[in-house]
Amino acid sequence: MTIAQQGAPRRRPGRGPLDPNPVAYIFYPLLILAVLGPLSWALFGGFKNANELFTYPPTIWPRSPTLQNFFDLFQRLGFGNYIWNTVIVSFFTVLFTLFFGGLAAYALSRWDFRYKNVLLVALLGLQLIPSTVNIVPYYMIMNQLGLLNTHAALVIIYTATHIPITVWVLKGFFDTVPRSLDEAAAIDGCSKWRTYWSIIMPLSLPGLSVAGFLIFVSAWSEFLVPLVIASNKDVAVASVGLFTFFGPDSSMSYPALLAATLVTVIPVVIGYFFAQRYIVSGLTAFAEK
Amino acid sequence: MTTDIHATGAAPARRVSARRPKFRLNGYFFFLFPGVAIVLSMTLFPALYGIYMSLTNINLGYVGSSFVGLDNYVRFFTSPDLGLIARNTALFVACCVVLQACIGLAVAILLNQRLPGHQIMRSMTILPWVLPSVVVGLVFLQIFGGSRLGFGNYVLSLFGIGQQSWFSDPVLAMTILIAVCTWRGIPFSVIMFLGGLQTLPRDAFEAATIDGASRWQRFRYITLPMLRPIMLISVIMSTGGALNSLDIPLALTGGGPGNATELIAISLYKQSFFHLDIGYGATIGTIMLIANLVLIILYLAVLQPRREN
Repeated sequence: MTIAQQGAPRRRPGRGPLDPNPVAYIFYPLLILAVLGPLSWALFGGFKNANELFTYPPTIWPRSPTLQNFFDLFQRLGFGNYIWNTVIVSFFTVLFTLFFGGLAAYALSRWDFRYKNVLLVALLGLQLIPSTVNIVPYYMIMNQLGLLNTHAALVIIYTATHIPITVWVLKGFFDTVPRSLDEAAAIDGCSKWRTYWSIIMPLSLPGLSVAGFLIFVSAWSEFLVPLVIASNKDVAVASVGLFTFFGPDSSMSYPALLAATLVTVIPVVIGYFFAQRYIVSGLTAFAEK
Repeated sequence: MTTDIHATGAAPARRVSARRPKFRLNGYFFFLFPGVAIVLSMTLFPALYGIYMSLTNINLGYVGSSFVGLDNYVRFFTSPDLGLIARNTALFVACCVVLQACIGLAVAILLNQRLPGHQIMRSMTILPWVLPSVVVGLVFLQIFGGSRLGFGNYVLSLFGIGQQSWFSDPVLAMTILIAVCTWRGIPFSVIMFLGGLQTLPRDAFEAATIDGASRWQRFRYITLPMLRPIMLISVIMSTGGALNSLDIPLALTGGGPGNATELIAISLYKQSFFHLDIGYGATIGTIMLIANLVLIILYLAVLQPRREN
């Protein structure tokens, strides 16, 4: 967790590669093509009209750029509603996950008790039970609770599945905040709750934002759970909307698909470029642990 | 005797006072409990509930259900589709895992060369990891499907490969499915391997270089053995990822053409939510749960010695 604690990638002395091999440059164009080729087709395709999208040979750069697809998307298909649903669900997931995960991480960072390590490992194991396995029980549970086709059902499930990784990441950050601060606060008469809210939380803001971002990206991209639990048009999230409009079962492929893809992807990609140094270091730290 | 009475009298009192802090409002219990309760209620409980459901004939089309024992399991293991689904799943998982590990390691070594520009390349390479997988599936569906004159066919025609209808040919559909899942999965392997490469001690490489080891020898005899734990973790995670992946298969082929790309996860989804046979769906889920438990135990076992130091 050392790297995550610093919040930024830091190379350890005496570790890492020796001499860079310039032969690597030969492979750069190949890598760029493989990653950006399909993405650029989607990116520029959003601004093409239907005719140009289906011409052969295909064009990459739009000949007559148009925003028509985006108007269609929001006016005819009402995609704004799907985006709004995604925002709501992702926002509350981040909020609740950080709240409950933060409290648990603080307990695991500051107290020593029996089975603490067992609990940490168990959380890691529970995190790895995939939603594919639990999807049928999720449907039945939410059906019996009367929560089918509600945002609450999604927020509950996402919160539960994201708490474990959050606990691990946040515990790493809390461990770097010196315990002497807690002790000083206790001498000044702070309760543990007060210490957490007024001292530890503000000091761990970088950690909380990294964790928050990871949760947000993951919640934004969820597909299977909302497809089964909340597929009703009024509550559906963007990924479900995309699938019902443009999936293999839909009769026609709208030119608006690529526009919809852009709208869905943009918040995540912008966030990624802001937070990527933290994501990469946070994740590798998690892998090293 | 008096000391005895004294001791027995004092012991319970001491035990109470030693226990009380645990459940005080300021104790760790109240910090820990809500989070752990939520996690258990939506991970462990559904898994157990799924096992129970798999023993019933519960169906979304009918009211009521009854206990049928292992009937669903008998049905699964004698189903005529079992061979096809097992073959497809094994092929899909094996190809995804091997490709992700090999290409992921190659790309990680490439990005680990500290040349000018390697950081931009790293950001770009990892980008697919944050894209919602259903979006990835749908974009590739448009690239290769849509029409026979799509972008994918055009690009391949530049390499002299003729036009194909990718999603009506069983072999091609599976190829595309594996390729797209690999494309989406490689960034994760790259992140893991890069993390591993950066922890390798440099003096080992320096010593080997002084002794006249070639780049290949350094890779073969230093990098590979030292990366083994990370590689194991990465393979375990990508095996789970491929086995449980449903987003891209559903968005890309939906199991078709026919059931040529039907994977166990797709079968679970179709049985449960198309045929409404959720008892049987839960059975497939339980079988997948067992496979996942094996992976989870392996994962924790590989992690265990590393956590202790």
